[in-house]
Amino acid sequence: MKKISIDPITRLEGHGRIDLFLDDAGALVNAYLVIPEIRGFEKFAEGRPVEEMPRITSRICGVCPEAHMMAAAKAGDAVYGITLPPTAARIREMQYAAFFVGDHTTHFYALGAPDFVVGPGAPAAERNILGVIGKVGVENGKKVIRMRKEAHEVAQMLGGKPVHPVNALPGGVSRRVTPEMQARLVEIGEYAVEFARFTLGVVHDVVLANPAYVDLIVNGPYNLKTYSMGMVDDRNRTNFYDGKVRIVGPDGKEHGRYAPAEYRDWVAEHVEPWSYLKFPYLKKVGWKGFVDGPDSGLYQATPLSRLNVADGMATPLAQAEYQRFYETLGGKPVHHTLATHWARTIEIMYAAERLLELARDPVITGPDHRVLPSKTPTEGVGIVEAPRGTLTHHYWTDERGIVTKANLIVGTTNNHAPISLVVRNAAKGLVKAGEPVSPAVLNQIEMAFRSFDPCFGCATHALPGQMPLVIRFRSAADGSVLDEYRRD
Amino acid sequence: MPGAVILGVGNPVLSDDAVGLAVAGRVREILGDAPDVAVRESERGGLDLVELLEGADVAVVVDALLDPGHPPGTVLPLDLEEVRTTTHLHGAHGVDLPTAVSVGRRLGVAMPASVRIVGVVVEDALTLGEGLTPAVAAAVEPAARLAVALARPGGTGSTRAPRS
Repeated sequence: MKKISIDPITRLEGHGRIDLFLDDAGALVNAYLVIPEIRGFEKFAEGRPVEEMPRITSRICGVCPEAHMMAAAKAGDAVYGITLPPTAARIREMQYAAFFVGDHTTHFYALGAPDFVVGPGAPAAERNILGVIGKVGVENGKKVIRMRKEAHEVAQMLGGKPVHPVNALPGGVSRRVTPEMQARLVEIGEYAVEFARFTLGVVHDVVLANPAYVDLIVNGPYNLKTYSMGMVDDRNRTNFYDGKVRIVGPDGKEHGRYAPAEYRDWVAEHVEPWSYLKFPYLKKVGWKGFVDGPDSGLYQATPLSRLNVADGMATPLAQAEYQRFYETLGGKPVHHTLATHWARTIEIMYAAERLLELARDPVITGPDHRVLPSKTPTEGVGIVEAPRGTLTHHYWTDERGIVTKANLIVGTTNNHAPISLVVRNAAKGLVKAGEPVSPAVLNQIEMAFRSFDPCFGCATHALPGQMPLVIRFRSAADGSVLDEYRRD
Repeated sequence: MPGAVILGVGNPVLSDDAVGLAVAGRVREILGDAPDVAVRESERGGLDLVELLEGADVAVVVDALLDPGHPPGTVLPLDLEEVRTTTHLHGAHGVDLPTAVSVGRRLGVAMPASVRIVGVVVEDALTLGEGLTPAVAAAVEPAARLAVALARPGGTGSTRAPRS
């Protein structure tokens, strides 16, 4: 048997590697995603005051700091048994919406769009954000930079720092919103909605108007019929900041809903000897290995999953696009992995509209931006939707609020097994026995993977001192390298 | 403000990965009360580098370096094309430092004409924790001196690294 390794995955934050196993005839037998994990979170958290966790955990990852900050702050609320006043809750959600706009924007234009806007078979040197700017034009490229800058401005204004905000605490946020800040937040929200319209226009004009791309999304080897997970409000509409986690089956029917404190009744973690990272699965269905379908407990927690679990979006323009999404792709649920990019842009619109809605809300300038904890701390779970999936923080403390134990399930980890599976499906469809594996084929395998916006920034951080792409052909008999292919 | 900027990048809670931030801190001390070079710190890379380098004529970026060919604590001056072994200047959501500089230039953002990198070879950048390993901590001073030398007029290109 031969083994092909793609190492590291190009354009991926953190270090990941894909191993493709081929039999002697060159046919694909299996594929796995291999990720080294950051060490020592439990030890790192132990002995720290729980109110420090939002500030500390946001530093684990340079990619989604706000997600960790908010999940940790919500866990802190739960540890102290606090219900947030509306002003505090809305400031947090508004800040989080701005972060979502900025983060999804970066993914779409830098990581997702090159495959579609420039083309999946385009030379690697052009298939990047510079190629996207070349296609959409410099003036439109400036909009992307401006949107990111304004999202950072919100973080600076509310959170004290442009990238790693420090304002969320158990009980609320440390800084109140003044009328002057509110006026600027409204301006930024208005621009975000305009920018989201532009981005949906790019999806329509460049991707959906191209029959070859629609065919690739719908009929390509990128399908995975797993359960879907995502947070919803009390009307089953998508919410990134608060609500219950809803799970629907591959047929779209509800499997269950859980409050944060109940997550361990629903999610368990499987361990494989070849990976440090765990594989979460649905406890009530069970681990059945790397297979999809209703009998396998694998679930996905992605922008696509979030649309699949929701009965709709809470804002009008996002709702209109949500309807268009399912009308175009043949109804709910959608299992076409590449449709995740479109789902992500619908979430940009939802986050932008929600940002504007909350920025205009007179409640945000109220005085109750924080309540002081008064109960004895014990244990608490906080959950938010990170851009890459449901993010769970769980802390146990002593009576002084000092962390004695901690557990995290991070966004990308939810999707660890599904990523391996979709890569295997894609590779099976693309790697033909006896035919050489071309760079274009390797890129199309990676496209399956990039749809997830995989980020192991909080699972791992280091990059190897190697070329961006190394493919190794190994003998299964003795592990020797039979052949090696590299590209920049 | 046109002029030179020294940018330290790193993760403050990931052991040696914090070295870029530590070097930036030391640079501030070296420059004293009347700095002729701006000093910035960032915990992110990617497109944020466009904003972080905007307006400077000359930039020196300090980052942790994964280079199994050199012992931990080795300080290496690198060119823009050599960033693939650094932890924050490569990867970062599809936008490495050369791409970020190109994106900035393409979009009309004032990007530095010269960008140099100071890499510090790390021992452990995978364990959560505050504090550098001894060899990397000892490299902060020479890395800071090198960054300042590279940032000042005449400092680009020809200055070789003091090795630790």
